[in-house]
Amino acid sequence: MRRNNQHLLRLLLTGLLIAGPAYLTLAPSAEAQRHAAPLRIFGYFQSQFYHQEWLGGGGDQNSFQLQQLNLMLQKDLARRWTAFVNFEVVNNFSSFRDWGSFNLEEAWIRWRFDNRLSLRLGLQIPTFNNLNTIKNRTPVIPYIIRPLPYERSFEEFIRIDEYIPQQAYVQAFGWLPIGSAKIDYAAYLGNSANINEDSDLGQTGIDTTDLLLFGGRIGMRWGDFKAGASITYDEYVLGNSVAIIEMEPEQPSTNKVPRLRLGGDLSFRLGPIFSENEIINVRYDESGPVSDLDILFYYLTLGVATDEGVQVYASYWRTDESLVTDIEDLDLTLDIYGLGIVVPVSGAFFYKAQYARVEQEFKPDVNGVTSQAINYFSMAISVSF
Amino acid sequence: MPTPWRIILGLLAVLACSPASAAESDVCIIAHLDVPIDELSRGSILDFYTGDIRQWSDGSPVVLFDQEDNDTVRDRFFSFLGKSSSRMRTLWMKRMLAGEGEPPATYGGDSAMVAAVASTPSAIGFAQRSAVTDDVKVLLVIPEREP
Repeated sequence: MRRNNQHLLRLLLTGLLIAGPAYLTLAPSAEAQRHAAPLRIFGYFQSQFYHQEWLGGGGDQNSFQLQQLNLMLQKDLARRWTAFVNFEVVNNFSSFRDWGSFNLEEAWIRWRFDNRLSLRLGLQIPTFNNLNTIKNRTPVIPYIIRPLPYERSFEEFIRIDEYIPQQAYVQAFGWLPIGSAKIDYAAYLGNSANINEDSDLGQTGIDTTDLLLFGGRIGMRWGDFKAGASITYDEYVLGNSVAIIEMEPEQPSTNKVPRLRLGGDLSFRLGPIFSENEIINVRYDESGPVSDLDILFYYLTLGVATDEGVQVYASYWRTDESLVTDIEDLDLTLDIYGLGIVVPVSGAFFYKAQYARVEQEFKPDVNGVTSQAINYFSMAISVSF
Repeated sequence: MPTPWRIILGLLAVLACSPASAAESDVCIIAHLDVPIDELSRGSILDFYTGDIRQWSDGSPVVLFDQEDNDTVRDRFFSFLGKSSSRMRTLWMKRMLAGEGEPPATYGGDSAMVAAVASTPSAIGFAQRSAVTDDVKVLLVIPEREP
């Protein structure tokens, strides 16, 4: 039964991928053909200076960093169709020096019927909670360092893929009016966690299984109040090169670990006061070889915004990862207390400053140490062009 | 104070409060003559300007126009919608960076706005009533002093 469902989904997906471009090729309006829309090129970057001090002593750091640069291209192809490409460069990217990374973040085509239904086909960032789709749009968020699972520049040492879905390939979304409120929805399909990253084993970047990622969000907006619940479901196949499997090297490769991400978001504005809050819980089926693995993250932000666009905020983030296996128990918690300010210089240029105090606790100990704290001061310019 | 000055000041006060004077400084939400509706609610205008609704009821795309910064008419328009202009800029930037459309084209002054709306099919904009002509349709009037 489950196999039949997956077969049906694959047929649907294939149909959409074929029918979409075919419709585009065959049915653009005559008016659109006469007045070809221009190719729009735009983007943004955020560059920061930070000072980091380890409260246990040693390792203090001052650094400039081009944290992120995005270059986007968009073209309206026909009345209901638009194409969009988003390239992203992070952490002072240099291929020569082997610094940072250069990513094709998005390349999709969108068909919009009306507010009730839009369809995106191609590589895209899926809707999950409030921040996922805009996490990398640095000029429109107040943070320099974003709530951790959304911080792409930390990808080298935080498994952000575990917390939040990073990619989808087909997504339907829209909103429906109910009285004075609006009900938002999004539903999407993407690849499961079983992506090949080793060129010796074949083509990289593709899902090596016949599994899929299923996900979606349903939410409500009412004036300046917004809330929603998000979910994704996929399965790890043990034996692939992902973190969980490294903990269980003896497990047969056919074993699967279902993974469920649950999210909730709440944001609002009351006069000059704004607040953004999210919770993410990642659950793994504990009946399998991983006896207990839980990931919890939440953040709370409360701030004040003036009519001129100055924002001052305080935030608290917490991550809690625990893994219990037959081999060992691992536990890591991070508490981050932050303060920040955004000052718009123009509509396209912002100064930002942020302070964060990071308190880590971990088990097992590292050389007898089970906790440490870091002060992090940062200033940045965020510019769109 | 001499009597003639009192009379003049009294007349000026009456003129300032007269309906005609207030009407001249009302802000009108205007649209191209071909748009398929004759009036709009505040909520619908907000939906247009936030990008939640991008089509008229006949399916034609809504073309939004804005006035330049530091314009009192602009401030009154966005204040009527319950948004500051910095907030609107952020909303439009979000839309643009999400691949969902450009910010509205801007025009300097009421006359330029009226001319742009009149000459652009499916367009919607706003201008002080004194500049509005019969070449555009008035969908809603924001009184100078809102109740």
